[in-house]
Amino acid sequence: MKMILLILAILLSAVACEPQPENSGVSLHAELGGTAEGFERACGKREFNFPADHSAHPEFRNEWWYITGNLENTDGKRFGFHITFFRIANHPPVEEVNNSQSSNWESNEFYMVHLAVSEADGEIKTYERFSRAAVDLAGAERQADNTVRIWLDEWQLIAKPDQHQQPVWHLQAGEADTHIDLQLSPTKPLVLQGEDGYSQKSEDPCNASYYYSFTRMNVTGSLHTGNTTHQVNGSGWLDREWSSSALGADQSGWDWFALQLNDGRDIMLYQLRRNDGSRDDFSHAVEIDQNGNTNEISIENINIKITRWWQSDTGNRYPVAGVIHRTDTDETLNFTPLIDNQLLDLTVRYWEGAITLTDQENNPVGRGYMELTGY
Amino acid sequence: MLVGMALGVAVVFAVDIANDSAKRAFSLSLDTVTGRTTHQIVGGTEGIDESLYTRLRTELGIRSSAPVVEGRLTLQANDESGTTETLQLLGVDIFAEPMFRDQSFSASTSTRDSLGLLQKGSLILADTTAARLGVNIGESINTSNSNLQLTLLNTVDASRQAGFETIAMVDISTAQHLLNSPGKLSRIDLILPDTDSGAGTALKENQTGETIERIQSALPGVSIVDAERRNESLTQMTAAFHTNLLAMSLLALLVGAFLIYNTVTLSVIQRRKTFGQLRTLGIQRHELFRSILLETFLFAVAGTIAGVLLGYLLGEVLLTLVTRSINDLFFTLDVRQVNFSSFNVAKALFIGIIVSLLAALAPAIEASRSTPVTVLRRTSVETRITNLVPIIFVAGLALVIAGGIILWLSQTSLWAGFLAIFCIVLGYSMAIPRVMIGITTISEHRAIKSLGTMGNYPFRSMTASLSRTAVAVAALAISVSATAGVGIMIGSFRLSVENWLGSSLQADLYISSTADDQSNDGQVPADLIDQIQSLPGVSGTRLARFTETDTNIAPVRVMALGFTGSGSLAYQYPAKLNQPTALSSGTTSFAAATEAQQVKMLNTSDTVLISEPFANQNNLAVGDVLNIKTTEGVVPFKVAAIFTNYTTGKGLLVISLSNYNKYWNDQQIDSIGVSFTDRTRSKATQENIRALVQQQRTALSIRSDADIRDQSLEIFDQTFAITHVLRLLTVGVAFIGILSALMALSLERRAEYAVLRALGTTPAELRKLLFYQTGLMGLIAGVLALPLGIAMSKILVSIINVRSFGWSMEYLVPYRVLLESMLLAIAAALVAGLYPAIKLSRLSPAEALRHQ
Repeated sequence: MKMILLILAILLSAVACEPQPENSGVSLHAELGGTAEGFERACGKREFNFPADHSAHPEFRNEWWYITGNLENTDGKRFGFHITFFRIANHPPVEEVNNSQSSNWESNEFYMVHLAVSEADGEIKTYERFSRAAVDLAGAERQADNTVRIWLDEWQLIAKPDQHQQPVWHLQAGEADTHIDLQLSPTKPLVLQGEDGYSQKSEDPCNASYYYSFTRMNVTGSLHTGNTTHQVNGSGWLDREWSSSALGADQSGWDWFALQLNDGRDIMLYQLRRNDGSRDDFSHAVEIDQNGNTNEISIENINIKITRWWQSDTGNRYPVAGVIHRTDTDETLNFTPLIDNQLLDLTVRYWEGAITLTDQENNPVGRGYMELTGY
Repeated sequence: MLVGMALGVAVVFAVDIANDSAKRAFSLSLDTVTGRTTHQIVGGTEGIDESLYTRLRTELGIRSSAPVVEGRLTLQANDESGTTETLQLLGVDIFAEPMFRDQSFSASTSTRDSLGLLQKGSLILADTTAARLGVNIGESINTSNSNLQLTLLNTVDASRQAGFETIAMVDISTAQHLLNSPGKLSRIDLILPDTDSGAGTALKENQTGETIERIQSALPGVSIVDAERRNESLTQMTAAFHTNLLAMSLLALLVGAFLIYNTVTLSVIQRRKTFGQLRTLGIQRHELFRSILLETFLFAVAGTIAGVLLGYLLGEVLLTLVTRSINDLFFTLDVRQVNFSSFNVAKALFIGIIVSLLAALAPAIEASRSTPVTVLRRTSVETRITNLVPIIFVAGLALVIAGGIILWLSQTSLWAGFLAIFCIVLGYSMAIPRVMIGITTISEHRAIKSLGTMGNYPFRSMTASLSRTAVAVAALAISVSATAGVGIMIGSFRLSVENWLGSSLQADLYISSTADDQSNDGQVPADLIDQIQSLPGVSGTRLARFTETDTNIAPVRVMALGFTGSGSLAYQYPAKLNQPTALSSGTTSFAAATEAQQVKMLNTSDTVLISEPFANQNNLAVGDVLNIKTTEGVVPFKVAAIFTNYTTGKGLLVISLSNYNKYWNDQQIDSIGVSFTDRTRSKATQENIRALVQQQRTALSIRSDADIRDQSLEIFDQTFAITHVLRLLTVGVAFIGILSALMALSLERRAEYAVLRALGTTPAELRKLLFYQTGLMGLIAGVLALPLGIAMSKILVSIINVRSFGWSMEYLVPYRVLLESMLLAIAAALVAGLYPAIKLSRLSPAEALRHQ
């Protein structure tokens, strides 16, 4: 869900109210004048077919593989990590009219990957890569043994089916003094978001995406930062989404939460902020129980109160701590960031970071990831 | 005073900024193409397989790598003129670029450009290039490379990206399409940890080494070269050229310093009386000294500033010439703007002011030390100067000897060569006063007879004011000797080039492909070669194939030669470098063998001939083994001979075509030289060949040996145009110098001339006297300039040129140049003497004497 909004934000930034001079070059689709024309659109429910659907859907314009997680090393020191592989098409795939393809470098799509690692009492390291989907520099492919590989340069995400045909993900990425090599095994079944994986975004039934998640995965592996390699384990979250259309243009940004509670529940929650500061009706919340059953939460029952803002070097302020209150169950969750600065100042600038959840008595009740855009 | 200083400073400043601008453009141009690349993965003629790049990134994770497809792109202007412009095609992957080429390029392109460039046919040009071709952003433009229509996506501000002017940037897919080279890259640029700078250098060096090893073990057979080293030979070449120019400008400064000295002294002498009066009024010595220096300083500032302004204008003219020379000699460089930094200005200011103050020191001391009475009398100074003459003479001789020792000791240093030249020039000029006295003593007796009673006047009067005349004569002698020295050097050089061209161009007609030698469809078709060889009237052919490769020493150009019929190698082999060595004793040395034997030797063994500059730069000798990278692996070739070659750029190797076919596995031919049986060149045979060539599908050019020789010599002459200009400038400065010296003299001698006039000398006689005197000065300067000029040219030819370019050349003194120099000196002196002579002859004796 969230990433389609990210693209939307990119689109908006070109025309938006707030000046973002440093990001002036990022409105990828606006600059390209790209439309959904020529691409397939998500206009209704579809049959999902795994593991094929773990791989790319080139007939759609955008697609991403998004993973976050909270980790601890053997000394109990906390880390957060986040990686997203974006697939972005410049134009619809061209029919091979003439066979005289004169260069293998021609491609209608490219990949963008964001990687971030946050360290408790430390700092966030962020990296970004681009590559065209050509000459095997980047891409997504399903191999004969049903292994799915998504890669850019030497960064890769590989899904191998285990004996229950559940994918086990292997993630390898890193740059400079930061490297992660992690195994992620789902502990809950795959969740189809929205209506059986069809996630409608506005009145137009074709303004939608196909969307599924693994909301809880057991993570083990190594994390290298600075001069130290840590053996880590923890809990991860994967979102998969593809679509061809963008939303209406009256939102200014959003706050998105992926919450993993110690009692086994997961909550996915986002609120869209309209230009006038109000909450958009398309905001959404869902609860997944220990067994993977989903339970929609009416967005009216959710209140979010900001308790602390953090100001970045660029002067932008981000609400990094607050209170989420559920009126239907009277549950209160305080959220605080692992570290304040978890800003990804990349081609697209947004705050995305690990958070800690506590109850009213300040007892730890869970962890999660939060994304803040449009600030 | 101002004019003198301004001129001296102007010349130095102009050469300095022209040099700097050209150098800056050069490094920009290199930067645009190679950017911050430290190493490159290169292939041979065929380039490298693109899958290597994929493996480099996905398997080895070497991210600081960027693929490059290079070639030439000919664009057709979007107007009726039908003009075309050939640019360097640079095919890049925009996603791999940001960390490579210059940042300012990244900054000047937006994401839209980045993504737009991915569109097939999208093109980025410099704004100036786009304007010349008459194409606007969004418009399409045709190329003769392919029927693909190109679209101008955006332009780059050429004033910020000077190096971009000769470049057409496209996506790598477009480049492969245009060059018809699918699957191939020209090279892969790498940025490996910088080993040049500061802390942790050893560690970084280690990392770089490790990375290179990692690449080589994972991708066996790739060749990784140091980008710095790759560009180095080119940089070295131009550095030598710039050093030569700088030396010329310093010579101008030396002459300029004489000039400033003269102007400063002139201004002091003019006011000697005033100073004397001031001293009698009680002004202290040090006060006078200070005020003279202060005044000089103020004048120097003004003069230098004027000089900088003048130099800027002059610099623009020079820049065109410098650029033209570089283009002719080295590579395409497009500089349209004079750039200078505050450093250039500071340098000019410093030089101008310091030289002025130094020059003013002596007259200031002279004026302040003397008693009020002697200030009014000039002879006291001259007496002292005359006493000093022998000491200066000895010091000068010592300097000349020191220069010789420096030359002897310094093996290859170019700077030491120039230092030696300056020592010799300075020493020589210091010896001039003593020599002048000698000459006048010898010749005055004879002169008396021809000029009557006043016969010895010009001589005596000259030696009587040596402090003035010696400086003027020395300045003139130096500038004239420089003119002669450089003239002889160019003459010798031109003669050598002419001889070289004459002997190298053995064939009568040359046919070559007009296309870029890297592309495969531009070669001379094989059937054409057969047809030409079987034509009646054709006695032999010389087939050539060019490629570039790497050796264990440096990247080189390789020319593979094959002969049929009467074709022969026809190279010149400098005797000094081709002496038989222990290795080759017993057998005939290659250079001494007959032409038929040479061809046979080249064909039957792994033998290579190397060009003289390549041998000199890399200390190679006959008998050495050179490991040459071929398609079939690295092959050791034995150096059989070193041949004369005056082309610049990379070193040139010659191997046999049969070896090339074997080791490169390539049968293509780039050019054919055709020799006729009949030296009078039967028209019919020529027509037959032309007809054959016109039937070919590929574009081929036909040129006769005379065409090539004329073109080469034309380029040669253009190249040295700048040297001619600098020579004239130096003489110009010297001319002003002698003028100011004569002005000073005539001011000092007012009373003397007045007495002469009062004694009955007519104005015409006085003019004649002065005319003789200046003519005499010119003659002495001219005569003295000759030995210095010849010495200078000898050093330039046998030392400086070998050290800077690796070229040895014949040495020839064209007597015409010597005569011209002599006449130039006399003419300059006479013309300079005209004004003072006329002014003096109009002197009113009574008026002048009243001051006594």
